[in-house]
Amino acid sequence: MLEAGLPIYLEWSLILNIIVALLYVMLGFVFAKLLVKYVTRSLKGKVPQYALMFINKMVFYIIVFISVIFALIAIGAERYITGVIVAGGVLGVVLGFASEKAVSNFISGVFLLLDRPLSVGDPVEIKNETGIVTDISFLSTKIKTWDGRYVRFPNSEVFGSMIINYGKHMARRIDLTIGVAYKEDPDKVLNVIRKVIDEHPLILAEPEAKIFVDSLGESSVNIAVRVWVPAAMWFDVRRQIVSIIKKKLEEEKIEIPFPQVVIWFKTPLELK
Amino acid sequence: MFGEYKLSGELFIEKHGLKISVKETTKGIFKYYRCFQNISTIKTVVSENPYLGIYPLPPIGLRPFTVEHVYLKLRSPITLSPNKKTEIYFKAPANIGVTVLENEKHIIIDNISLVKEKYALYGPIESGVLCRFYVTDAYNKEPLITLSEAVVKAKVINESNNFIEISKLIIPVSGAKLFYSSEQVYYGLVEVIIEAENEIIIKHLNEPIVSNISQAPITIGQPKEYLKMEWGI
Repeated sequence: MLEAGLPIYLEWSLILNIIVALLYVMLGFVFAKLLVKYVTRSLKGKVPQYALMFINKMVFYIIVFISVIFALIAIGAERYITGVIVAGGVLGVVLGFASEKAVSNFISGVFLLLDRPLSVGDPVEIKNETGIVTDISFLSTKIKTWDGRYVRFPNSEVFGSMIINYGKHMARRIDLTIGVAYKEDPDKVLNVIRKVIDEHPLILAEPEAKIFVDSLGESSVNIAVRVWVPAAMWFDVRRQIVSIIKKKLEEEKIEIPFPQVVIWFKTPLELK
Repeated sequence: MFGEYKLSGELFIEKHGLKISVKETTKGIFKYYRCFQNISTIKTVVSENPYLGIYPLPPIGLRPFTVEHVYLKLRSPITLSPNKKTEIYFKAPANIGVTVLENEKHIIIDNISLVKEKYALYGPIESGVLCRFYVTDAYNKEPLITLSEAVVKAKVINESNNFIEISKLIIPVSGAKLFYSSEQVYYGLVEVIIEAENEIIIKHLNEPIVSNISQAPITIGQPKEYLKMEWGI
């Protein structure tokens, strides 16, 4: 009876242990998900979005890793854990050498998170590609370009290249040059443009707008307009303001000249 | 003008050029129409037995661009002697919020600004604060205001040992509830504590500044406990 019962007992015990191990892994996943939710709720608005994503990924993988260790213990594989970790370490070194680029991207990703030149949602220009940052992960940075393309940069390239972040500061300047005819009164022109600037809600009252006669060009008197707008609204205001200034100048009958060349002949032309 | 209106049949409100009308087209379906300076908005509201609410709202801008502070620029600065306490009144912008109320729940269907909208940056461009900008005088008693303006009463305390010149005030208004009577709008009491020239703390206390006024039941944004004016006053 005993000899016949032992294998059955062992079999049931093994099945039970496997179930327990699976439960550990499942609970680990559930707990990791819940903890990520809690961390997100606690840190939202307090740390940048990309740092939050990084912390969430770290928290998730650490909890899952711990639950896998518990699962291994549950199936009686605890004596192999040290070996697994050591083997994992050795394998990690081997893989590290083998995947130098991936390691380089990972380290660059960490540096990007510490240096913080860009965040998810920022309008940026990286290597002549402009768009909105949609994700910063361990290995890569993704942007959605203005024309809707998905561009993925390895983090090592992002870290090593020039990044222009158009949304890093609260305000951004719009620079315009408007040419008017020489016959026009510059004070009148400045007043017309100043009124347009004052009436536009999103052109900031402070820092103050600068409007001045900048240069005397070949065909026009050039008026420089330097105005500050909220960085997020730069493109919209830039698009509107040129059109409004042109309309107002036309309403005031102020001529915007086009380049003209007067040709003088050394010998007067004769009609035959 | 401010308050609740039972919606049944047709409602028409006209004040200082602002026209609001609501008409029940079919049972439970209302057509909301608003017009100001030839700019109109039409919305359809589907609701059983609703009320229309008109309340003052903090002037935090209209989507997609919103701010959390109001920048009051004084036409002429005020100089405050050391260790002096005083109370000063200002005018500030206030939006008009139109809500539909059903089962004690408000839904904002319109947010109107009747005064000129202008914004400014307080502080440096890399870390400053974008604000709704408004130029005002300082008054020693409650000033007369127009529709879409509000009265601000500030309790200013100069705790420093120096004369302090005040040329601007930045008031956190996100999440703040405004107060109203039938025609007037008020911000809650504002406390300005000047510890040094670049250490000014501004708190928007949600206390009414006069009696017999109601608190608006709606607001926008998250309230901010205080603001430090670290780039000068």
